[in-house]
Amino acid sequence: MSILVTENLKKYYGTEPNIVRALDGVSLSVEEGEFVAVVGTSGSGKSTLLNMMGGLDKPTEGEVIIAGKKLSGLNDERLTIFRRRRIGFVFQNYNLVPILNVYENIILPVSLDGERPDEEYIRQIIRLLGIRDKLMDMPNNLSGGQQQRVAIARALAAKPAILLCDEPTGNLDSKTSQDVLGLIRMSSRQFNQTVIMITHNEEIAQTADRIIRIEDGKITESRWGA
Amino acid sequence: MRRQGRVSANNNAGYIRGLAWKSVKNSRLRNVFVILTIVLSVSLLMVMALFYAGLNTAAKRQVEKMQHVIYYGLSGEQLTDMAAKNEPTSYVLGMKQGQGVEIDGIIISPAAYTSEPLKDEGVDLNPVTPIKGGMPETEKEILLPDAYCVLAGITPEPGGKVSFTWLDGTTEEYTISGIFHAEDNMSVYTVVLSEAYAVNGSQLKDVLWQGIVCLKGAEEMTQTEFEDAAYSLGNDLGVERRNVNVNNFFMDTLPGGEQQVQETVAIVGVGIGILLVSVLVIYSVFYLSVVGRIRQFGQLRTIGMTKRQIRKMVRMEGIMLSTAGIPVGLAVGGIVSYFIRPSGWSWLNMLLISVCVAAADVVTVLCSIRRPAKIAASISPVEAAKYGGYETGDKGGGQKKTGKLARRITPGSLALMSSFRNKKKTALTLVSLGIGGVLYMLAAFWVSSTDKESYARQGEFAYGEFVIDYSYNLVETAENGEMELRAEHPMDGSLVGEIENIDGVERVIPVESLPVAFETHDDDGNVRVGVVSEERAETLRNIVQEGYLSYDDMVKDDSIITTDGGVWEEVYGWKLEVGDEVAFTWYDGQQEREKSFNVCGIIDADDFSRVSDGQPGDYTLSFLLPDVVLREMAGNAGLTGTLVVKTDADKDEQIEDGLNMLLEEYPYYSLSTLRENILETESMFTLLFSVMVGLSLFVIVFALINLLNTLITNILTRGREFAMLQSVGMTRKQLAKMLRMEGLTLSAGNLLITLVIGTAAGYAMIWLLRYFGADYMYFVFPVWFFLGYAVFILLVPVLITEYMVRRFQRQTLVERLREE
Repeated sequence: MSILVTENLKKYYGTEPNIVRALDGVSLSVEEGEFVAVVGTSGSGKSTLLNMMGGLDKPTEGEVIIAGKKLSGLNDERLTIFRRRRIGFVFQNYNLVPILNVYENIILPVSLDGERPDEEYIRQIIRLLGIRDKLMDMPNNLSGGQQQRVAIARALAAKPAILLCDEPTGNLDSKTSQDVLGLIRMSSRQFNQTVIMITHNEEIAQTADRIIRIEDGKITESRWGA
Repeated sequence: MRRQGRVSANNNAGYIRGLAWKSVKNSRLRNVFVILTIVLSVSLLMVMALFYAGLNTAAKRQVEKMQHVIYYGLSGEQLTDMAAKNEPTSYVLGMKQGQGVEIDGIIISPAAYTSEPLKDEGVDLNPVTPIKGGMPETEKEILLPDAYCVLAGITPEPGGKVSFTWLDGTTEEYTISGIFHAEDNMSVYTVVLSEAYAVNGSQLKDVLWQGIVCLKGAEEMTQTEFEDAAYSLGNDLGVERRNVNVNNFFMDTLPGGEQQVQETVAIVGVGIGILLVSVLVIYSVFYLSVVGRIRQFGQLRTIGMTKRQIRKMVRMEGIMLSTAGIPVGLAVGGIVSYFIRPSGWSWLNMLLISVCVAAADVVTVLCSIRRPAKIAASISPVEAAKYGGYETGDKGGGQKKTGKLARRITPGSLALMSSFRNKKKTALTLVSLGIGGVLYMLAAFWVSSTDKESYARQGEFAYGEFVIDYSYNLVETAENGEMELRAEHPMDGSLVGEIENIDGVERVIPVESLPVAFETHDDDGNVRVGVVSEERAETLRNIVQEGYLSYDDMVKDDSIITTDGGVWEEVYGWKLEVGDEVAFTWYDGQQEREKSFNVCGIIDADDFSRVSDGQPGDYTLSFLLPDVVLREMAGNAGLTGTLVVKTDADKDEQIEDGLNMLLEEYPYYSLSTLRENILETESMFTLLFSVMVGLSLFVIVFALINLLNTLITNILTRGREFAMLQSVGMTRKQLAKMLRMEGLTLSAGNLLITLVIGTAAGYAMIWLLRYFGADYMYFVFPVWFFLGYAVFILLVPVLITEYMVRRFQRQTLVERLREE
């Protein structure tokens, strides 16, 4: 069953003749539990695609459907609530909230929902990501790799159906990158989550279930990997 | 060659200036706040300084045409001596003032001046200037006031004839030599006769001269020097001290007066206060501006800018903003001051004060940005890259770990965490907002605690709502003054009965005293003697400073108590002591009598005014005698000279009508009402209150600029952080709630400071004012002022937050997430 579908997704900036087609009619569908890598050169439109999928940006044309729900039909408020319940984000630059400690950052989406975190589940994530002894630390007391682990934990905390990762290893050295990637794979398998990850790194892309290549805002290749 | 080794020593001032200019151009919001603050502080300082200087200028201009001293009771010889070349006088004019006479309810008082000043070394002083015709020259000529001509139906033309029947019954006819201007509705008008009349005329030939005198170089003297000069001139020429009348209005324009020193200290104090508030505001605006640009400074440092250059750049930004703000402030301040007091305007003052204020404000701005500039310069490129805008990132001095695993996370708690994460910034804003709030509360306390009725209820009105006296004009013109009227029209039982019959009158209190002329220490004058009963003698005994008060001894030994201790020395220059003899002369309704008393006790005037069993009329008394003694002295004229009417407050209006109707039958009495007194007080306080409220509004604008700056900068510099929160699921409502809470935390802190410190300061102020004699002030909490302030201070963050959230919602989350 498709958990995420995009229909003829377009995002244009500016007007003719100087129009920039960041996305130019992207249609794809992602199955539940799938690990998809989106690759492409700088400025090809990968990040734009990811932002559209996560409802962070609005398309010029086309539709994003997550778990059968059209994002365009949601107002700003409901879209935000939908996002915090169904989608987890992992950014290249971690985007941790500096005034909250590691644990508070992890449970933030759940807390914003006015819910009590599922402690057993959170403990499981923390153990998996190896940040048990850092829970009371403030973010800027952590290394880049540690911060990214926290960001992943936060993305997983609300048990989202989809994990959107925008170059999660872009700021990390290769050893740490391997670790982080492994963690994402492991957790997604364990919790049956769909992962869509943008990367520059072909090597990383090769570990995905499917690789989608984007050039000039269009899908040029979609092949099933290992 | 050390200089060559330093990059910062290159001549790169122009380049730095260019960078500073670009930075100024790019931070419009900050510029608006800083310039507004500078304009506000400069204009406030200007208005204050120019107003004060203007007061002095206006007074100086007025006194330039005024005498410095008047010497009374001079013989012709003394007057001529005063004008001698070697005397320290620059102007001497002789004048005589004769006995006035009442004509149709108006008193006409004859006066004459010497035709020329006896000495004039370039002083421009004209006691009377004819608007038509000229000064009288012959014995038969007269100069009349225009207002009187209108009143008496005299054609105000020179050459006309007019005649007066003077107090001694002589009727004289005069030719009008000219007309001079006088105000309408005066109760006394002076008519001016010639010098020849002063020497030979029936009404003035036996009157002594008065010397209208200016002293050489008096403008350069201090108040003490001036007083000494005036008295020693009198002394040299044999004029008694009580016959020397120093012009206090002139004296107040001289330096060295206690009041002047106090005023100057107050002005300088308020000025420093304004500058301190400006320092706080400008400091916090610049602090926030620097903190918001930490990454930018880091980049500049990375590409090779030295610390010195960064410091210089930030300083330059401050100077550029001052250059824009100061002239506007000077102009605004100048214009406002001109319109407040055009008569005190002086370009020289404006120029001098502008230079001082501009210098003070440049120093203020430079002081304010010293620390922010240092912070900017101390940023290392690496720190800047990591900087998140919180103190935790600053040199590792902040919090690294929390004490608790998970704190409650709601928009409200996030707001609190946010407010506390940058304690310095929060404290700074709270302090500068707090100062504004506290000053506002002081003004509010002053307004709310002033009891206008209490102020109006001074003197006899402390005991009743209406006061009946003998008509002033009649007293002044009667040969034996008030005592003659008392004998002819006594305020007796039948009058009291008639008043008490008016519905609503509760009580009529007769005020008893005996007006006497006294002689002691070779001086004389007029005072009032009050009665002391056996009972009151017991109470007053405790406050006798020197000597002893015994009712029986006073009756037996003809001894007397003075209640003016301390005043004698002030007025006459000598001290009344126990054992001194005081001779009284008075009229008892039939004849003039004389009697001497020995002073047996001295009560200080201040103590007497605060005595617990105070009685109406106490404040007019200088001596006390036992009731039996004083009653006998007053004879059939009696002791009652005033009636105080105590009434039921609800019926005041009809009682006033009743009293007016009653007094129409007795035209020799005059009625004063508490109502009129309150009206007068109100008009006096309205002006004062508007000045106070105006000043505190200025202060609130300061606080407001600061609050707006903090709120707006706080939101603007955290765009990415908010986007971050929204990306992980914070809704717009939650975000707005969080920001609102942050703003309201500041407001609540400010309200707390304003309430607690403002109330304490207000209480202290009222206590001090009461201590210094403002008995009409009662501590009343200014509920409405505080509520108004609270609503205002709470509303601002709510509105600003809503506006700002709307504003940045226009950008998409992705755009905001990309912001640096």
